Amino acid sequence: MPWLTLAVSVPLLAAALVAVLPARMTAAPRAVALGASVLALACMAVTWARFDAGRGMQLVEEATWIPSLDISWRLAVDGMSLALCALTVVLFVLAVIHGVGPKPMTRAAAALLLLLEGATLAFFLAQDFFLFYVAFDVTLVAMYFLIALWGEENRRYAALKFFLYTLVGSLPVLLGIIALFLAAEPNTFNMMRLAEQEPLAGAGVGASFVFLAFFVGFAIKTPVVPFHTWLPAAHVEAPTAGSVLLAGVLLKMGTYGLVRVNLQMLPDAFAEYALPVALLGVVSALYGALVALAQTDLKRLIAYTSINHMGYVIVGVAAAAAGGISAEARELAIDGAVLQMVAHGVVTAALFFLAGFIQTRARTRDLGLLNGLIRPMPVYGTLVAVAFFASLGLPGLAQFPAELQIFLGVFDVWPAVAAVTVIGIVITAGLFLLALQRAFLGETSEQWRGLTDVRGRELAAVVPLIVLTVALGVFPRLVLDVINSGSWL
Amino acid sequence: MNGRKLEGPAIDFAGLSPLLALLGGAVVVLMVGLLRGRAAREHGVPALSFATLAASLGLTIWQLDSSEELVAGALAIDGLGTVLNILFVSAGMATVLLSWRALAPRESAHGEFHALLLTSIAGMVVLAWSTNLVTVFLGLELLSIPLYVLCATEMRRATSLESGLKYLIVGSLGSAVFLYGLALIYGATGSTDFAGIAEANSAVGLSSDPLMLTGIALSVVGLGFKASVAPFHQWTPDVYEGAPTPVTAFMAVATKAAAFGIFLRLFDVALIDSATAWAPALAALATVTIIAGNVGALGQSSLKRMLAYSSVAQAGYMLAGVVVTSGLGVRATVFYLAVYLVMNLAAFAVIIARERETSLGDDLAAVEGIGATRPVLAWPMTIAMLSLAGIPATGGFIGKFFLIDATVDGGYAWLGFVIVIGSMISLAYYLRVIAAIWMRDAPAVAQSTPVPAGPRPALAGGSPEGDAGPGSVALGAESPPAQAGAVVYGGEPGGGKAHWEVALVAVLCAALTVAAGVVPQPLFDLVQRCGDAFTNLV
Amino acid sequence: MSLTVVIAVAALLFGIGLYGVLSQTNAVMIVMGVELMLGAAMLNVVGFLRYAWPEAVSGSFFVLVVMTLMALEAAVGFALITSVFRNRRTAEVDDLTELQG
Repeated sequence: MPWLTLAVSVPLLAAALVAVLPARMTAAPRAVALGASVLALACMAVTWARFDAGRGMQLVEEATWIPSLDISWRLAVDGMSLALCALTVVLFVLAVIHGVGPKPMTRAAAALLLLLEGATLAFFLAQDFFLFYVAFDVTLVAMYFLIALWGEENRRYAALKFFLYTLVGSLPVLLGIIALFLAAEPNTFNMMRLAEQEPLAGAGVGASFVFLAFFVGFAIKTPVVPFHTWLPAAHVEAPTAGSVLLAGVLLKMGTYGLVRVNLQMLPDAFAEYALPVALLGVVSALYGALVALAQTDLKRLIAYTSINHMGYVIVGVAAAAAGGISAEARELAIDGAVLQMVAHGVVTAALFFLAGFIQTRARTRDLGLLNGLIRPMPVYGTLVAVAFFASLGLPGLAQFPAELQIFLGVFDVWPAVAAVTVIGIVITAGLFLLALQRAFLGETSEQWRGLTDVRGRELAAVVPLIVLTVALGVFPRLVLDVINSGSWL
Repeated sequence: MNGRKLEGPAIDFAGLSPLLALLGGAVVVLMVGLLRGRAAREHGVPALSFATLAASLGLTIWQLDSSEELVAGALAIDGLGTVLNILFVSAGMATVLLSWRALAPRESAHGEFHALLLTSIAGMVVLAWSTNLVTVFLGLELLSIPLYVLCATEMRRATSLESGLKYLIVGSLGSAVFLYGLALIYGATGSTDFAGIAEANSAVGLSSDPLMLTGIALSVVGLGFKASVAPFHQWTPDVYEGAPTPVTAFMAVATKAAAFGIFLRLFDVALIDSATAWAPALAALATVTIIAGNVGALGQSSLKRMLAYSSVAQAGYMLAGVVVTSGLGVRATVFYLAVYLVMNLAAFAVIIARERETSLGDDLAAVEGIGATRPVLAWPMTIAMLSLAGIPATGGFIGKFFLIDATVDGGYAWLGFVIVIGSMISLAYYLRVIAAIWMRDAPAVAQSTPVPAGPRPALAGGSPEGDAGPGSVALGAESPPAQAGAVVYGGEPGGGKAHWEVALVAVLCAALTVAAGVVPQPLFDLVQRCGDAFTNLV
Repeated sequence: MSLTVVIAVAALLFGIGLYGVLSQTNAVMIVMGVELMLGAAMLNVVGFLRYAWPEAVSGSFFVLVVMTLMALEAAVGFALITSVFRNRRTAEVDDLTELQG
């Protein structure tokens, strides 16, 4: 069975199906979306079982698509793809459970979620540059509508900003793809062959330009300071499930591309720019942490910590690209970076769900107004505490092993950079503890006494993530063994 | 008389049949239009016209593989000719559907309207098949003259007449300049057929001949007028806005296809050896056109004007395919023409539908909020806009990708970069339409809404009793004001009615746009046939 | 008489016609300007036919076809002008300002 193709096409076909459902079947869109996303999850589970962590890129599924331009439908997985796809399918099931927009879920909402899922999976699995690019842009369109239709007050502005930033970022990527296509001998969009061939190795200025084109595109997506200004707006205005998917999955496209394209296909150029890129990562990590410290809006705070956490990933990838790094440290750094993508996806998704819950109850996310929430909402308080601790990198929770590995890897090349980056962790620890203390401990004011605790569908959406957070923290090998970057890098 | 029998040229009637069908159909339609029965005029004429086009399409497909001289070196059927023919005839069929219950044919008489339409398509076919300067000019005029009249067919609306007159003046100015250029090319080479011109050109090396260069320059200018290439594009928004919308749709897609067909033939066949003289100039024109079109479209509130400027920008993209003088460039241009045809037809069909449903004409406000009330129209418009903007998974993306590929391959990488920049600018105005469709509430159209396009006297003519199709249900209880407003709209019979055939065109074209983006291979295969007309190219 | 003279006269005619199109405000005058331009092109063709390529007959076909089309274009042009005049009581193009932007 072509499990990868199934994983991509089931959500896409279901999206088309939902779009043509008669309007009077009000329960159907949600049911179809749930069914399709669970099926995609099953396909990825099968893939996980069939995956051989020692073999690098594998399970290739290939079909000619547009022979005139030598474009194929070519999907395959390696450790990084598989880990991120697993994250994707899990988060989409939870997002569908939680729902987007008015209840019951409308046809448009279900169709857009499924379209986004199919495109995201296609992006992470694509081994053909054309498909890679198409998937990249289709996710933008779907996300644009999710934010613009069901976001909060300023949704249209935020959606447009998100769309324009990322689309403008995608155009240099397109030019870069065409450059790589033409540089390869013979011309090809086959990413596996391009990674083998490294067509621009030693091409000097040309390679630098192509590297920068890709880097700018992916840096906007990640986002790296100074290209980050779209992110807080989009996260704050997006509906809860939209923020979850945006932070949990879509941000990873940037760092995934950085590894897949810049590191694998343009290693020489990356080695040249490794230090500047790492410094940008450090700036992102520190800047994100510092700005987060000043936020009182919970969603905005989480958004800025995302910039911080993705900064670590950038630093890790840059260290792996640096010239003088030892093989083990390189593996540590990349394993750590990929694990960090997954862990951040899980933890931040949980955080955005939790922020959404308080928004629907208290009609505010302002940490200055909320207080003593632990009393009326003990379960909620506990979940938030776990997620906060995970996000600040507490040992035993998901992000700790990832960040540790990144630091160890970076330490091998640039000890000073590693040392500075650690400051970021200190700041985030402070800000999360501060937030916890402000909103959850202390006296409960009158207005918050009547808040009800989380239940039902909400628990179903967030508890699996908390469980995963703990599992990843205690047994990081579960994912690290699959990632096993030594086998494909 | 010396008793010598004059030998007529050998004529291949089988190859000529698609053209003959069109001309015959035009005559028949004109006659049927004289019948007294109203049903015969209002429904019989469009039906016959549609049947004529369908027959021509069938004959074209029958002749798809032929590649031969038709009439003594004046016309030849080949891959490019048949593919373009399919485009013209498809555009014509869509136009017949769009104008079936429109105002324009009622005001100008159905027989004449459809006869002119068919004649214009015949002109395009002549143009696309011509291998000779004489037939080029003949085809160009045969396509243009009926169009001047078609633009003016809403005879009681001043803007329609104005648009017709403007088009006539600019169009005939373009024709005159073009003809002068052709005359000089004839003078320089001594031959009117393309093969002869190419031969003389390569044998003598006329690249620096002043006669030849002036001729080339003037014919570029003349064709620039026809294809609305900047800086000869200023007429486009005025004429597009003023003409009846079905005619605008036809003009936008079919004329463009015809103009680029002849661009390809003239420059990439007859004048190929002077490429060093014209290619840089055309590349510069393409750049100016892309920028002028995209910048002009920003801030337009009339959808037709916006699409007019957008069509200017698209002409610039396609010009890039001509500039590179490669087989890849030819295929990319024709591919883009095909995609351009379906995505524009989808957009125009939606505009027509909204013109009939609301009193807002082609203003951006007319599509506001249709995402909630009229999904049948909202989706095609969204797809058309995304495709025009070049978003992946639509035909527009593949088309632009193909063109950029051709430019980079042909050593004009900077032109590919200009295309990318142009697409970035264009996002601003295409997204505005999408935002209006999905993000805004439908405007409460007051009865007193002033009619934007000037006073429209109510017609004495009867109502076609538009049997409102399935699409009309959405105009439900929530928008009675919109219906009332539509009655103000010139008291147009059938006003406020949603016509199924318009929605059908929109949906069909949108589906094709997506199909061209997801499974473009059949279209690539079709376009591949154009290569045989360009044996001189790599 | 030589080819140069013919070309020069044609160019002069073309220039006069172009000037007419660009400077006149009356639609009738503009159409006449266009006719002059077409006439100039025909004169060119005839000149080339007579002096440069007397053996090629295709030039004469060219002239005949153009002559017909010229008449057609003028007929349609004047018909349009007439209906605009009926509608607006003017043939001055400067008064046609409904479409602007």
